[in-house]
Amino acid sequence: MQTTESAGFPASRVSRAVRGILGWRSAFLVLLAVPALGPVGVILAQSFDTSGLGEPFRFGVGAWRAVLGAPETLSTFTTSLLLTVRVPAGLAIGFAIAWAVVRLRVPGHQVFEYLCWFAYFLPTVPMVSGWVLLMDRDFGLLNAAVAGLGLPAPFDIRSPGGIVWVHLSLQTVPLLTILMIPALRLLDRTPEDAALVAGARPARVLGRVVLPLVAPAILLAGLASWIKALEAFEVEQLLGERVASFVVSTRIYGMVSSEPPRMAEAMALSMIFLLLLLGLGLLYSRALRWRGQGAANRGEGSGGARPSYGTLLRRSVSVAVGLYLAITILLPFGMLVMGSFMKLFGFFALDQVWTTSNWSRVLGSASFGASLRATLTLGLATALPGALLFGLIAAGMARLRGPQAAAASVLVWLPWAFPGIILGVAILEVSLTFPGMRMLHGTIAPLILGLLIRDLPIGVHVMRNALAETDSTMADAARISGAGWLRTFLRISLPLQMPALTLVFLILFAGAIRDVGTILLVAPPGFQTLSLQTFNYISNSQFEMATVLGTIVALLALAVSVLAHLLGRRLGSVRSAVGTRA
Amino acid sequence: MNTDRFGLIGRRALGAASACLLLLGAIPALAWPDSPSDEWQALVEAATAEGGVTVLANANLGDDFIAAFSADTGVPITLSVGEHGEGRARFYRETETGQATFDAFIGGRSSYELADKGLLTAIAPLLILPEVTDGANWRDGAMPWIDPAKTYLPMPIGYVSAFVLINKDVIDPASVRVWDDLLSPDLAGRIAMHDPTVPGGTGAGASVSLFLAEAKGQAYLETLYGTQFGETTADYRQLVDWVARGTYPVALGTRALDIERYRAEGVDNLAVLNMQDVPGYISGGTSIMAIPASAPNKAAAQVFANWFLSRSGQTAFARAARAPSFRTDVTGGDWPEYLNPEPGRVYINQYDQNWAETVEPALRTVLDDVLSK
Amino acid sequence: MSTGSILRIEALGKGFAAPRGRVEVLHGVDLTVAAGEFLSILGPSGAGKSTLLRLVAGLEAPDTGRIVLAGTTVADAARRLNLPPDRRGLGMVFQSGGVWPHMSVRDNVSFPLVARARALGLRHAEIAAKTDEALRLVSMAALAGRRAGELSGGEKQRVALARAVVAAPRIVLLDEPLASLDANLREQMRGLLRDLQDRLGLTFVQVSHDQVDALSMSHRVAVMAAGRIVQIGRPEDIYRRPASAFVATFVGEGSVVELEGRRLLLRPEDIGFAAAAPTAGEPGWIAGQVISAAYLGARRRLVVGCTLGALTVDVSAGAEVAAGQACALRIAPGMGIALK
Repeated sequence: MQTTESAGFPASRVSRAVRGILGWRSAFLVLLAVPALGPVGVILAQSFDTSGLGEPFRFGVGAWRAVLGAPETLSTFTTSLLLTVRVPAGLAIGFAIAWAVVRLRVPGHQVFEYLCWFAYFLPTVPMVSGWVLLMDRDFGLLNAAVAGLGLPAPFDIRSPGGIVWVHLSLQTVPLLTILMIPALRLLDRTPEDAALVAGARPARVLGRVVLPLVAPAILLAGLASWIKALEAFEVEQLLGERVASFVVSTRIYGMVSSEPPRMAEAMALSMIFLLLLLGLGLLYSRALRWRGQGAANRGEGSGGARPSYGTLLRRSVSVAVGLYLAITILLPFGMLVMGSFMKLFGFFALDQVWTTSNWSRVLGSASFGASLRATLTLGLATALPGALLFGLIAAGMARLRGPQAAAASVLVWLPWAFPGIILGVAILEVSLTFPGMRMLHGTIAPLILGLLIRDLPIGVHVMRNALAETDSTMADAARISGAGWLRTFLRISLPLQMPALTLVFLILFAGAIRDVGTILLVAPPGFQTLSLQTFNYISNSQFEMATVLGTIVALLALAVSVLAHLLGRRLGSVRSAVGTRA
Repeated sequence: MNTDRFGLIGRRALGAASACLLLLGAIPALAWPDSPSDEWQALVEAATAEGGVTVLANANLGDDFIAAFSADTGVPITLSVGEHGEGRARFYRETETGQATFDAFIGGRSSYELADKGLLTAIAPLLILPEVTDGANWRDGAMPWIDPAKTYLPMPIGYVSAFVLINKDVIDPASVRVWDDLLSPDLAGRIAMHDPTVPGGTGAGASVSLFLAEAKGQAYLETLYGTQFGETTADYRQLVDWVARGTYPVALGTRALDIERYRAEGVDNLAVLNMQDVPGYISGGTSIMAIPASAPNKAAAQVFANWFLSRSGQTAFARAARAPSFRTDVTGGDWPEYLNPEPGRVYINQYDQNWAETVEPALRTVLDDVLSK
Repeated sequence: MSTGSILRIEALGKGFAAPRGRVEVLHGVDLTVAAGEFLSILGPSGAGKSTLLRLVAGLEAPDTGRIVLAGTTVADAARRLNLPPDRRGLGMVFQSGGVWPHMSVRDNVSFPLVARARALGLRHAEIAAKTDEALRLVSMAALAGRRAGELSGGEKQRVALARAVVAAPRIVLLDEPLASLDANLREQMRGLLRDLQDRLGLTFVQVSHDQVDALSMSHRVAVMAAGRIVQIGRPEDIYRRPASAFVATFVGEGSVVELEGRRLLLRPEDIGFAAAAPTAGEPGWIAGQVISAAYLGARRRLVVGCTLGALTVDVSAGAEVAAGQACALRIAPGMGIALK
């Protein structure tokens, strides 16, 4: 029979147009490459600019020579590396909390999980001041309490140990816990039950059964956390001046802040840093793909069902976890609030220690209203399009195969390795030097761009996971029923992913209102978010005002974290409603 | 009044509307300056039509400074924090690439090279208010500039720096009267200093060190750093806090802002001493004004420049900065007495470009040598 | 069933990248499906059945070969042609149903009509009428307004079926549609599928690993193993005249024995059983001993040890047989399926 090759059902105009442009997959990869590799390209180019002030670009390696020849370069890298010792500690603590929350289901587990989300969304900079009130060498309350017993003050928040502690308590442990909870949640309970029935104690079950099964997830989370630890900036900038050497990110900041700014050297140092971080980022994305191809250890006994551990164990662990979270999260938060009512931050030896004037000054200032509006504007302008964009990217990546899929995975994860300050510098340079971007300079567009690039990895990751957890037959059924790609995305994929999309929205929103490093250099005149204002207050040693603003941002974070937590739980119920992948 | 909530377009619209209302006489005439010339009024109208002025400056200036400018000129103003490290970087990069998003920058002595390269607007020709250009209104008969051409970088504020802060409950103020008293063995390891290695190179720690290198010599500096200093910190407030608590009863490189804040809250054990042999150097603080050549609102920038250097502007600025102005008619502010230069005394002006280019390099070499040991 | 072919698959090949190298799932598969036919593709897990179905649906692209659908080439590896699924005019029911939980039953079923409204020239009233008709066919009209996420498993499959047939597709593809249903529901759905096929005259291509589903509903059955079709024919031919030992042992049950120099497959129902040892000299009976006896409801399945080995034998459910009991087996001449 002679065959014909008709077009079948006519394709939509959009589909035809997209397919016409050298294949949508290639165009998709190019679009992904822009935010991933664009900043790297800009930084690399600028690192070779040896021109003087106001002169055109002049190629040279002077900046590289200066950076590579400076003894501080090696010492700052060493310091940065040493401070990441918090990651293995954080892994151990985070895993213990995640195990207690998910597998032991200790009393209060929902509160504990929520507290980790709360800590994740808390603004770092003002929370540091909470720890300062507790552990400052000279006036910290904990030191004063110990000194009252006749013992030497043991804590110094402005030491390497103090920096590690602040990170561990406020960021590392909460983040790792949040990352490991889903892996433990998906774990089939039957291996644990079998071990318990066979007579194994809980510790042996944990070490011989649970840990090996979730080891890949733990290592992945650790790698992701290690990358973030290397590029940390704000805490080191605020507390690290007594550390013998700066870390790399603060040294970059110092170069940028010089008079005149040593931009080429800052870029050269950034490039070295980026190469290290990008290498780790590549490793991470590779590891993610390996894990995706391996067994998921999912089973019928996953989800809400928990193995049968004893009551005494559960209660003991509940007390331990509760104490830890109360000390590391609630205590500094309480100090932050307390600090906002002090006449002189940290000064308890006054006749009148307390005042409400800080609050009235901040709330009554014209700049507060403007900052609040700027914060909400930036949050919404970033989160709304960002959530949809990341959903689209995730859906597009789901249709890639082979080398294209691998390339897309790498490109999406590369921005994870960008320190905020470097990204901010790159965005500034792009908006000043690229003709197409110049018209955006002075608007909030570069801020939104920077924030979207920064959160691209985590946003797409959440959406990809959600898509992967959703039965792929949903989209397949729509395609076979005659729906094109866009209709399938809008009518089927998007509604089904609404909980995940909303979670991504909240992550982006919270990230936007908390960010300092990325937007510091590109915020248009007069556009100052609450976090920027807080950072400026702290930089000018106006801790009283900073703690007021920090409390307000923390309360915003509280609201966001409640929503995120509820959605995180709902995501689990949606997964079971739509069914896991067959 | 910060009107930049709507961005550039909104500001221009607001400015145009304000200009219309002004032309229609709907806005009541302003009380400043006295007897404004036609040229000045036309300038203000042009500035209003542009949408107002954007200024990068220190965060401490606050709402009162903004309110004063708006009340006097009726021109909208947006004050952005720009004096800090990242703000300076932005100031440099935008000025350098000719894409300034601001009209004026008020900061430290950072702009010589920009002026030399023609990247700044000459301010001197823009000054049209008689009270600004009349030398009789300025100490020493003329407004101070830090660039040799006296065209680009005015320095309207000047205060004595390098005072010594002590905790008078621990140290007898009478025992610290001249610089050599700081080398007393009793003070070994008990003096705190602002970090001279802070990026930017013009923080108080570096400035005081350069002053002492010039006034007292390298050996003096070596002893200070070698045996007398206990600790350095980049945090100005931390220095005052240490002295107040007695952690370090003596400190160099402190700021009057922080000292007076503590005093205002009831800390009464702080004493500020100007050394009697060499009382210190003149600092312009963060009062140096620069206008980029690519300033988007030229008329507004000119209005601001004139206002800033006027009595009204200097009064507002001096109050916010808590430092004395060089204007003779700006007096009675709440800045402390120890900041006022003694009449007739000659001080080293570390902000002067000539000093920075001819004297400072050698002093920096001395300081680097001392710090390396 | 008409005689013209609606689907022609020629030398179809497909492989996938795997951690340890490429895995070839299909090896040059040829298949023709007549219009109005109910064809089942039967095989063990990993045989390539679902991959074959997904290639026909357009959800995957072939590495080699081509697919011709109603006279139109929809996939040709040599020319890198692979028409997307929305342009092939097919319907499909998935194992998990694939109904959209956030939409109502009516919206689920009308979706293919809405998506193709312009191409088919359908108006709103026509879409509504066709949707109602499809819902009646599967007895789901009463639940038209219910959210699909609230339905039971069986109800979801009905909705999926209605959605698959509503737009009069060229072929309805069924990917293990009954696998997630219990025995009663499976029987109901089998009946429904047969009924729909009779009434609408649609072509059905089903993938299954369940022999009862395949044998009971199909005009023809294609048995797949290791990416190839090893036999295709009527259910009776597959069952009674398997082309290979694999087909013989995969489809139906039986025991493989060496008898008179031949290798034979003996079906349980083909072996005679007597609940006592044979008397001496009684021709055709072999002595044996019951190894195990399992009550299966409609019958009793025995495993009997004898000189030929352990044979599986079915007897009536009422027979009182216990393990260890002596018995006799009879294999009539000509019984058994010769294996190559």
